Formats: sequence, C-alpha cells, structure tokens
Amino acid sequence: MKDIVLKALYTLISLFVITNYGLLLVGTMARVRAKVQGRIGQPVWQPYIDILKNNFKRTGIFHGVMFYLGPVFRLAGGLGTYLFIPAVFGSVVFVNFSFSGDLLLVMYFIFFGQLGMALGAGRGGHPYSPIGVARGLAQMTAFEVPFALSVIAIAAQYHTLSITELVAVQQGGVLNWIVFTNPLATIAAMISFLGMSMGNPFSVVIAPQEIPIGPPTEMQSSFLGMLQTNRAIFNAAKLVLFMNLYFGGATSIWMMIIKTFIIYLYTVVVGASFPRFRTDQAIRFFLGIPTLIGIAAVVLQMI
Amino acid sequence: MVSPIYLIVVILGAAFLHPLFEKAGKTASRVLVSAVLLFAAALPVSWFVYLTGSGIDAVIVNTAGFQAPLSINLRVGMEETLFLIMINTAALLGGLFFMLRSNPEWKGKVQVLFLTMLLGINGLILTRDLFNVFVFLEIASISLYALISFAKKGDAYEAGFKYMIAGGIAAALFLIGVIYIYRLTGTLNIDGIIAVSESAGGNPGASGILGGKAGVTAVFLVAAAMLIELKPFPANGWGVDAYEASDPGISAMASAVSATGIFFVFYKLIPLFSPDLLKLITISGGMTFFFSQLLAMKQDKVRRMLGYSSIGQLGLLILIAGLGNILNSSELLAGFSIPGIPISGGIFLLLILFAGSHLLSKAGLFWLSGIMNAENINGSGTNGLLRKRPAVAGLFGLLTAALAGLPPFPAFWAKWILIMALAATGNYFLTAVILLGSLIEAWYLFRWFLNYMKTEKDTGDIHDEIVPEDFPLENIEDASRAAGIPQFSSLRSIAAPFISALLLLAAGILPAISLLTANGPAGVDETILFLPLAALALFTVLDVLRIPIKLQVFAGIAVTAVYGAIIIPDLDGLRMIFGIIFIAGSAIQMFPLANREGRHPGLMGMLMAMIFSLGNLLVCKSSLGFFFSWELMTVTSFFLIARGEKASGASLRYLLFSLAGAFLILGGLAVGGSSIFADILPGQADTETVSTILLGLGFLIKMGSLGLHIWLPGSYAESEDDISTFFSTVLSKAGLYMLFITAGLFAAPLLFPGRAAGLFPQISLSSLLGWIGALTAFAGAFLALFKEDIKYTLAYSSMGQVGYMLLSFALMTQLGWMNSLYLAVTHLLFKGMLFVAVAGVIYRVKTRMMYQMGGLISRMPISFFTVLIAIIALSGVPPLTGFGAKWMLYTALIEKGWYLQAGIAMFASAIAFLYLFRLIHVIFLGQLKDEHRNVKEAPIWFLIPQVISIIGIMLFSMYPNTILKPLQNAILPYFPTGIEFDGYTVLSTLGYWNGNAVMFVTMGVFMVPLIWMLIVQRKNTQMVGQFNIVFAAERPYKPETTHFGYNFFAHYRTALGFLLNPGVTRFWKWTASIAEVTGSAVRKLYSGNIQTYVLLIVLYVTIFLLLLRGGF
Amino acid sequence: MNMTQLVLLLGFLLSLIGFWGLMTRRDIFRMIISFSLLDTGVHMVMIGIGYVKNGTAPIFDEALIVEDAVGKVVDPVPSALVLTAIVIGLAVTALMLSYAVRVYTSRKSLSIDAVKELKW
Repeated sequence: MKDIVLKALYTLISLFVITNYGLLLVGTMARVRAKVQGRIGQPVWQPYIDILKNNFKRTGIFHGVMFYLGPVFRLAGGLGTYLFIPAVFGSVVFVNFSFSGDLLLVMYFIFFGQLGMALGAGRGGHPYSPIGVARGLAQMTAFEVPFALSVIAIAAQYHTLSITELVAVQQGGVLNWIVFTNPLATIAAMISFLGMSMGNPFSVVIAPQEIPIGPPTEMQSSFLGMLQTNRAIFNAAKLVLFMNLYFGGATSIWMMIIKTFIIYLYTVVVGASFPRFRTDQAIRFFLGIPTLIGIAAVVLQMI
Repeated sequence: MVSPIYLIVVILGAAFLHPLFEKAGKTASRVLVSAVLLFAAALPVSWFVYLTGSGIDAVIVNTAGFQAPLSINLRVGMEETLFLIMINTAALLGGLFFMLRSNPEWKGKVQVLFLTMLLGINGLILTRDLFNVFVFLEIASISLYALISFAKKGDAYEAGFKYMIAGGIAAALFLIGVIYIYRLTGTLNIDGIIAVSESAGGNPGASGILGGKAGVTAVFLVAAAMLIELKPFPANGWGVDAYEASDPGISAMASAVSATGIFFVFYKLIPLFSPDLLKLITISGGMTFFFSQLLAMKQDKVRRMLGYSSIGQLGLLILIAGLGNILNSSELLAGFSIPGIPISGGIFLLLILFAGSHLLSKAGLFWLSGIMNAENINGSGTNGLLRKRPAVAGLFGLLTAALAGLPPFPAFWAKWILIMALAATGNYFLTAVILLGSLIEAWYLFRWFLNYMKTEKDTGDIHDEIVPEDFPLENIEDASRAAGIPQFSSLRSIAAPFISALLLLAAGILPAISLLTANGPAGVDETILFLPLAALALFTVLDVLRIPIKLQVFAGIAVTAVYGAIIIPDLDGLRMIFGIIFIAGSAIQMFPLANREGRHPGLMGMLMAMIFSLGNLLVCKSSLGFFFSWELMTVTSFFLIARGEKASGASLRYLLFSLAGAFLILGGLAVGGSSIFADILPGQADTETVSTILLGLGFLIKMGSLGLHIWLPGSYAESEDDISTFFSTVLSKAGLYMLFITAGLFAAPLLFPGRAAGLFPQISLSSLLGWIGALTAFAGAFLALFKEDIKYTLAYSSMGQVGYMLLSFALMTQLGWMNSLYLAVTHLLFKGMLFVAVAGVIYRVKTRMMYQMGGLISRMPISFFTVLIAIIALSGVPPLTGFGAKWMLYTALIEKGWYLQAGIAMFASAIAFLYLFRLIHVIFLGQLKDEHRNVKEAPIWFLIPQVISIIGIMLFSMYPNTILKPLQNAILPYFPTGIEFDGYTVLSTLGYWNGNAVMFVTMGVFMVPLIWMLIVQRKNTQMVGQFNIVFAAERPYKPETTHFGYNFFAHYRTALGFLLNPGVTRFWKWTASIAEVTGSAVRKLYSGNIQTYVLLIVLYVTIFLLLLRGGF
Repeated sequence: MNMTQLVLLLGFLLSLIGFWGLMTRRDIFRMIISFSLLDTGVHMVMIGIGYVKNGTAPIFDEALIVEDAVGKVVDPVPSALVLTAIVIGLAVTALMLSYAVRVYTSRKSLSIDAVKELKW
C-alpha cells in the first residue's frame, strides 16, 4: 500500500513539473517567435491565463458523448505518453511508469490521444475538423517513416528497445550520445521531429493563421482548456523522448530542461525560417531524403 | 447369365416391331421403347452380378454355331459390362428425357433411330470381330446422322451433312486398314490378331507380322479411323457443329452414348498398337484436350462450348489410354480399387471414372441446357431468374462441379490419381498440360453457370468498388425485362439430369471410400472427411422441408459447436489454435445469419460444408485427405460468394485463382511425393525445391498475397454482408495454417543444383515469404486507403493483416510465430467485429458507400463502440491487443535483423491508422443524413458476436498472458524459448511489455482528465444540435454538403497515387488474354467449311503417319 | 503389272479422285458423287487385296479339291466384306442425298459455301 501511495506521489510530482515546464516552454517559445518577427509578444505566463480562462467559462456546449470525451482522450494520451517515458535517468521520482513498456509502447501510445481527439472532433460535425485530421494523419504516416527507421537503426545498434537502457549506454561522455554514434539516424529523426511538432514548414495541418482548422475547430471552454494543457504536456513528452533517444538523456531535472529547451528552440528556429509545405508536398518530402537517410542508417547496421 | 445376343436381339427386334406398336398408339410405342431401354440397362447389371459372383473373368459367346475365327464372337467381361452399364443407363435417362418432354414430341422414327444407335453402340462394345466393329460403327453412325436432323432446322442439316462426310472418310480409312490387317494376319478376330502379332514379335506390332511397313500402316489406318471418330484436334470441326445444332437430347446421347462407346472400341484395340503409335496417340489426346478447352473458352453458344468440352474430355481419355503402360507402373494406380468392382489397379479404373463422370455430367448439362432454353452463354433474359428456381440452380451447380472435376465427384478422385501417377512416372509436362486444361475448363463452365445465376444488377465484371455518379441519369425501368420465374421448356424432363447428378454423387463416394478409409493407399481412416458432405446433405434436406432459416442457423451453430467439441480437444498445440479460430470463430459469426427472413436455399448447407472442410484440414492425415478437404472448402466457399448480388465476376475470379492454387498444391504434392504430411515442421527438409515453391504458391494464393491478391477484394466485398466475415476472418487463415504445417520446407535453405548453388548461399524461401508478407501488408493498407466502399476497405484491410501474419510467420523465430498466431486469433476477433458491425450498418442504411453514411453514432451507439474497439485493436494503439502484435512484430523483426521489413511494416501500420480513422469517422461521426434519422441499432443477432468479441479483446488486453502463454506452449516443440515472462511483463532480448500495467496506467490517465472535466463542466453545459456549428459564418442546412467523407485522403492520392497503378491486375489480364488470343487464333481453323475439315483430316492422318513411320 | 495390281492401283486412284473431289468441288451433289467414288475405290482395294492370282471361286467341285484349296481359292472373306460395305455405303449415300435435299430446302442453295453457318 505504501508503495502505491509513494508511487502516486512521485507521479503527481512528475506531472506537476512537466506541466508547468511545458506551459512555460510554450510561452517562452511564443516570445522567441515574436522576437524573430519583430513583435513584443505575449507574456510568458499567457498559457496559464488562457487555460484558466477557458476552464472557468460559464457556458460550454458539446455535441454528444464522443465530443465530450475527445479532449479527455487527448489529455490522457499526452499524460500517458509522458508517463511511459523515464524523464530523468536514475531518478526515482521521474522514472514514471516506464516499466510498462519500451520505446515501441511510447511510439504507439502517441496515437491514443490523436485517435480520441480526432473522434471527438469528428463528432462535432464540422467539416474542417476532419479535414485537419486527414491532413494531420496523412502527414503523420509520412514522418513516422524516417523516425521509425531511425529507431530501428538505434535499436539494432544497441540491441535494445528499452529507453532506460538507451539512455544508459549514452552515459559517460558527450561522444557516447547517439547523435554522435549514429548521426544518420539522428538526422532522420530530427527532420521527422519537425513534422511531429507541426511547426513550419509542416504547419498546414493546423493552419494557425488563416482558418481555425483541425480538431480544435469546435472546441471551446474547458474542452479547449484541456487541449491547451495537453499541448504543453505532450510537447514536453516528445522533447523528453528525443532527448533520451539522441542526446544522452538527462541525469538531473536541470539538464533535462536545458536539453529539451534547445531541441525545442531548433524547431522554432526552423519554423521561423521556412515557408509552408502543402500536405502532399510534406508527404513526398518525408518519404524522400529523410527516408533515404533513415534507410542508410538502417543499412549501415546490416553490414 | 443371359446371353449378350439377347441384348442385340431385343433392341433390334424392338426397332423392327416399333412401327406395329406405333399403329397401336403412341403410348404403346413409348412403353415398348421404355421397356427395351430398361432391359438394356438392366441386363449388364445382371452380368455384373453374375461376373462378380462367379469370379469368371469374361464370358465369350460365339454366334452362328461356329468357333471364334470362323464366326463373330461377343465378349462379356467386366470391362464391357461396366461400360455397358454406364452407356445404357445414360441411354435410359436419355429416353426418359425425351419421354417427359412435350415438345418436340418423342415418337416414330426418332425412337427407332434411338434404338438402332443404342444397338450399334452395344454391338461395338461386345463384338470381338474387327469387321463387325465396322458394321456396328456404321449402324450407330448412320442412326446418329439421322438423329441429328431431328432438330429440323437448317443448322442441323448442315451439321449432319458435315458429320456424314467426315464419318464416311473415317469409315473408308477403317475399311482399308481392316482389309490389310486381314491380309497380313488372316483373321478378323481381334484376339486372333493380337495373338498372331504377339506370337510373332512378342511386342505387339513392333516386329511381328504387323511390324513391317504394311502392318504399321494397316494398324495405323484402323487407329486413325477410330481417332477421327473420336474427333481429334484439329480434325474435329464437324463434331462440334453436330453438338451445337442437334436437339440437346441428341447431343447428350452423341456425347454420352456414342462417343463413349466408340472410345471403348479404341480401348479394345490398344493391344494392337505399337509403343510408337501409342506415344503419338498420347500426344494427339493431350493436344485435343488442351486445345479443345482453349476453344471452348472462346465460345458464346452453350452447346458448342459443351461440344468442345466433350471432345476435350475424350482427348483426356485417349491420353490416358495411350499412356496405359507407363501409368500402370505407378504404385498408387496399382493399389487403387473401387469397392464392388473386382478389377484392381490399372488405368481401366481411371478410364471408367473419367468416362462415367463425363458421360453423366455432360449428358446432364446438355439436357439442362435444353430445359433452360440455354442458347447463349451470356444467358441474356434469364438474369437472376434462375435464383428463383433453387432446385434447378442447385442441379446446374452440381453437374458443373462434377464436370469440372471438383470433389466429391468421380473425376476429382480420378484426377488425383492421374496426376500423382503422371508425376510419379516423371511426366511433368503432361501433368502441367492437364492441370492447365482443367483450369480453363472450370473457368468457362463456371462462367456459364454464373452468367445464368447472376442478378440483373450484376454486370459480371465487378472486381472493385463502383462509386455512383453525382447526378445519375434517371433510372428508366427496362420494360423488356423478363419477370417472374424463368420459362423452361419442359421442367418435367429435369428428372433425367437429376438422376444423373444423384448417380454422380453416388459414384463419387465409391472411390472415396477406397481412398480415404483404412484400406486405402494411405492406410488411415479418414471417414470424418465426409462430414462436410453429410452436413451439406442434411441442410439441403432442411431446405427442402422449408425449415425456417433461423432454426437452420441455430442448428448450424449447435452442430458446429459439437463438431468443435469433438475434434478440438484431440488436436496438438498448433492445430488446436487454428481449430479454435476455424470452428469457434465460425460458430460465433453465424449469429448474424439468424437475422435473415424467408428462404435461403443452400446457404446453411454450403456454409456448414465449408466450415467442416476447413476444420477437417486440421484432422486430415494423408495428402489426399488434405487435398480433398482443401478443394471442398474452395468449392463450397465459391458457391457462398456466388450468392452475392453482384458477385458473379468476383466469384469466378475467386474460383479461378483458388483452383489454380489447388492445382499448384496438387502439383507440389505430386512432385514432392505424398509424404508431406508425415511429420513436418522445422528441422527436416529433403523435399525438392520445386515442390516447395508450388505448395507455397498455392498457399499464398489462398492468403491473397501481393501479386496473387486480385481475387480477394471482390470476393470479400461482393459476397453477402453477413457472409464476408467468414472469408476474411476464418478462411483466409487456411493458407497460413498450411504454411505452419509445412514450415520445415520453407525454413530450409534452398538447394539450387550446380552452379547456381554458389550464387544464393543459404537463402531460404522464408526470407522471400517475409518480403512478400511485408509488401502485402503495405499494399493492403495502401489500397484500403482510397476506397469509398466500406466492404472493399475491409477486404483490403484483411489482405494487409494477413500480410503481417505471413511476415511474422516467415521470421521462423519463436516470437515471430507467436505473433503470427496472436495476430490470427486477434484478427478473428477484431475483423469479425468490424465485418459484423459493418454488416449491421449496411443492413440498416442500405448503402455501402461510406460518404453516404455519417453521424450514425447517435443512432447505432453499440455498433460504434464495437468499431471503435476494433480499430484500436487493429491499429495497434495501446492498451488493446493490437499493440501486443506490433510489439512482438517489431521486436522479432529487429531481433532477426530484418530492419527494412520492419520499416515497411511500420509504414504500413501507420497507413492502416489512416483508413481506420476514415472508416469510423465517415460512418459514425460527422453529419447524420436526413434519411438516416430514424435508423435503428443493428439487430440483436448482429450484436451478439460483437459483444462476445469485445469481451475477448478486453480479456486479452487486460491479461495478455491468457493468450500468450498458450501460444508459447503451442510452438514450444519447434523453438527454444527466447522470451521470458515476469508476472505480466513479457521480456524479449530487446525490450519488454507489460500489457496489464499499460492497461491500468491508461485507465488512470484517462480518469484524471475525465474527472476534471466532470467537475469543471458540472453546470451550464448543454448539448447542442447537429447544425449548431459555425461554418463559414453561416449555419449549414444540409448534412450532405457538410459531411467530409468523400475522397478523404485526396492529398495522399496526390502524393503517392502513382502506387495505385493496377499493375498486378494488368499482368493477370494480360495472362488471360494470352489464352484468349491463342483460342481465337486456333479457332480460325474451324472455318465452317466441310472441305477445310476434310483437308484437316487428310493432313492429320498424313502427318500422323509420317511421324509414325519416321518419313516417307 | 497383273490384273490384281491393276485393280488395286485403280482402286487407290479412284479413292484419291474421290478425296480430290470432296475437297475441291463446291456442289453438294458432286461432293456426294466424289464420296461414292471414294467408297467404290475402297471397295476395289479390298477386292484387290483379297484376290489370289489364278484362283478359283471358293466352291468345292472337280476343279477344286479340298487338299489344295488353300492355295488355289480366292479368299471369300474380302468379297463378303465388300458386299457388306457396299450395302452400308449405299445407305450412307442415300442418307447423304436426303440431307442434300434438306440442306437445299433450308438454305436454297446446293453450294457448299451455303453450308458453313456453324463455325469457330
């Protein structure tokens, strides 16, 4: 019993940290983006304000049970993804539930939230939601390919799919990081990470500027608030995953913050520098050079 | 024993007395003819009893009071008796056919001619005098020539005239040959001639009296004359003309009585033929068989097609007769016997099976074509009407199946023995020719069948979805459409083909008893294999008794359950798992059938037969038992698919590919020897590579692997909605099961002979299978992506899933095999759920186009939930079972070092996610259509299997060990264990997975936001209506314009649409067109001009003679 | 060349003429006549083969005693066969002619070109 209470406590701490970190990260990056564009930008704590505002709206409307559950699924997906990743190497608090499964579990659990969200959005009956979903899913299948190849390459290299073990083998010096031991796999994965984080040039999926497209179309009040919460957590979870896979993981919470911040910065910088692909162009792009790099990484493991 | 003279006397006497009886009235003459026909059929039966009873070989009867050389003698041996029984029975049925028919009337000269023809044929069979053969031949021929004119139309006169010219030439050749033989041997008695030629040379005809140039030519002329009477390719144009133009009853007699009788004479003369001559005869027979099938394929007239088929079958008989000495040396044939027939071993049994099967089925089909007024193969005007005559349709199907040599009919057993014997004696080329010819034959016969069975909505070439036009033209009711039940010319006559079919069934069981029981060559008792037939018979009786379909379904479920309870516990691990899939899976999925109303003749019978034959694959012990069950499964499933409203094209393709697969398997078994089933599984593999490849191809066809898949989408999608699920979830695993059973063959490194061995060191077929599996998985998912028709989506999805199973199997590792089995079991659950749920939806909304649905979640919540669970389980999203499959797959692939395959599999599984989302979204989410506002939840019968499957999925997800442990134990004998269990955690060398923990964590993280939401949203929350959305600043008013469902992944098509290029379909169409073009080219020979035909005869004879003599 | 060989030769010649006629004449009646020629030729061949040079009729009288009968008589069997064959040939020819009439009534022509509706 004591174990369970302790584990629950650790989990809450872990979630608290990652939620706040994620929200702040979102706020910070919004400011970074504003600076690039020559604006002042929103305050760093703007995400908190948004979430609180949405959650305390007096009215909320919904389109049936599935619509109601959509954001729940989404947040559950974000939380789950994070909880299946050991966030900090060697830390009892931040090991989370990584004993449930290995890298494959994390890769597939990402779909859980996406699926639920898509279903909820579809229930809304607004045509823009499924258009966004169709684009998002299509793009996802494409960027999954180089990422999957990259994962296969490193799994083959280190004969493990356990994230903890992958972090363990990267300890003991910067040169042990997979970014240096397997640069091809890392390049393929980092390109697909751009698609995964849905910034430019792969942002047509959510089309933030011109029309409110995609799942959030019909979401408001606490539904939207929940989605915003998830964006922070899910983002952080993905960053932690990539940090663990390619950049040596983190032995302390501070190291994690620094590394993930830099990884995120990379997507923001790329996003601020490039125009946008259409969905079909994005698909072809991912299945082109990045996939070839991924294949090269895999083939190198075969010979 | 009654002397054979009486047979001739009575028939001849009746023919002479007939005019007197006719004077007394129509009835009197009919009674006379019937009595005589009955006598003619009964007498040989009495001989049969006498001969078997007394054990006497043969009875020789001399005529005119002299001994043999001086007089004509008749021989009644077992061979003559059996042929006479067959032929006279056919004649009796032929008489029955005419008698029951009202128009044209059966009377007068026709009856006399009918009797004289029968007389001639009977004489032909009995006589041992060469010149007497000529006399009887002419009696039979002249009667037949005259009978052809019975149809009283220009075509018949034309055909009769041509026939006479050709027959006359044959007679002239025969006469010259006979007189030369007489000159050389001094006797006309066949036994005498044989004795003389043997005593002088030892080897008949080789160097004896008949061995010289004159002798060879003389014997050749006799042989050539008989061959021409039997219509060899290409000198046979007049023959088909006669079949086409005659009255169907006459055509039936020409094929069944006349041709069979003449063949017997040919058979009788074989001892005279030298080995060289026999070799040429074999070649001629083979060519006739093959080219006749090609030509028949191109026909659009029913009776002309049947005519070519008859000629082809005779060609096959000639081929077997020509190969006699070679085939007789095969062990299988030597050990073969038919219960009740004292002859054991030897080609005669093969001949009697082929000839009898052909005689009854072909005559039956000719009669049926007359009754159905079938002129054209496309059956215009009869479309769909035959379905209202289930008895006629069933009879049609039975006879067609019998002719095509499908189980359980006699030709099936004969084909098995023939192929085995041919391969055992090294005649691989002939084996291939015969199988190819048989395939073509099945193709055109069933094409005919399906053309008559199809509904008027069916264009016959539907293999892919048909998306309706946006603004279809007004549906103009076709006024000319025939209504009501089909107009048959005389339904009473159906008694004749009906009795034929019964006799065929009985005749099919006899050899089966000898082959599949403990006395058979395999020496194992496999009586259980007849269970499917028993079930078919039982449920047919229920149909006839008009037992309501619901009761039938429940009876079916009960019988299946009992069957499963009996056989499953005795199976070993691997088989038990497939047993559960095959039998339990089928039983559960039968529930939706209980929703049907009205009569569905044949439905349950075929279904039960299919399930039992599938189950029997698990218990069969010999290769024949396996092949029998396999083919039976193919046939029954074909008939099930053909029930679909627009399934004729798809079911034909299914049959064609399945039979091709079956023939490949047959070839593989024949080449590899029949020990395939002795004790397979990894470790031993000394069978030839060729055999393995053939078997593998056969199994892959059944699984619908990429390249061999083009039959699959149409068959799965166009079969009835509540039937499709059986094909996808149960039947598709038959191929997988067989791969498991024969895995040892595929795991072994390929043995390439000679130099090639160095090129491919240690490559096993399984690595090829792995690539095929990966590509199939990808192709299935990708093709499913763009389908608007939900059933095609599911069909392609099944193809992809089976691809994963194949890939996992091909790994040949413990984890791979576990995953393959795991997928097989879970696929049964989730794909069954999908198919049944979708069947329920289609049942309610009456459309298969997904974009025409939408928003059904509010009307059909349970179905929605089922589909949701199913797609989560299928796509591999944790925490449900699908993730286990993905985890095992990738882990096993990476462990094995198949990284690229793993990459493809991951891509495929991502694409699967796309079509699955589309499926659930477009049907259940989005905008509810106005016409669906009052749709109800699917009927309870559809929900039962869904709920059972959901429980199964949930159980396996929560406690993965309940399924993983049994799977591991099932394959424990074959692999050392490489994975470990730690509580609920499965540990591989690469990683770990705790399904139980995943489930709890997922529940936990799901509950937290849900509770949060419930707290925050506890007040001022309202549910709003369907159109309460902001849509371009307006509210939409029509669901159709607001539901995003059509061409859902348009951008995907833009990006990767080039992959949709139907290259495989094009390849197969190209293959088919080769056959068609060859057929078209060859049939140009048949100009219709008798002078061309005479020239062909002359050329045939000349070239034959030149080949025989090796020059001038 | 003796008479027997002549008969044989003529028989073969007649048969060939018959074949030639069957293959080249367009008129149905001429074809039937050709067929009869063919038949007759075959009959002559049969006679020719059966004949023994300088043989006598197979009737036992003072010219033929039983002891040397085998060498001297003409074999009666071929003659019997020919008789049968002629009878049969007659029947066939008659039936052919009646077919010719029927063909003419249905097709209004006696040309063989009118008799090739059934083909391919």
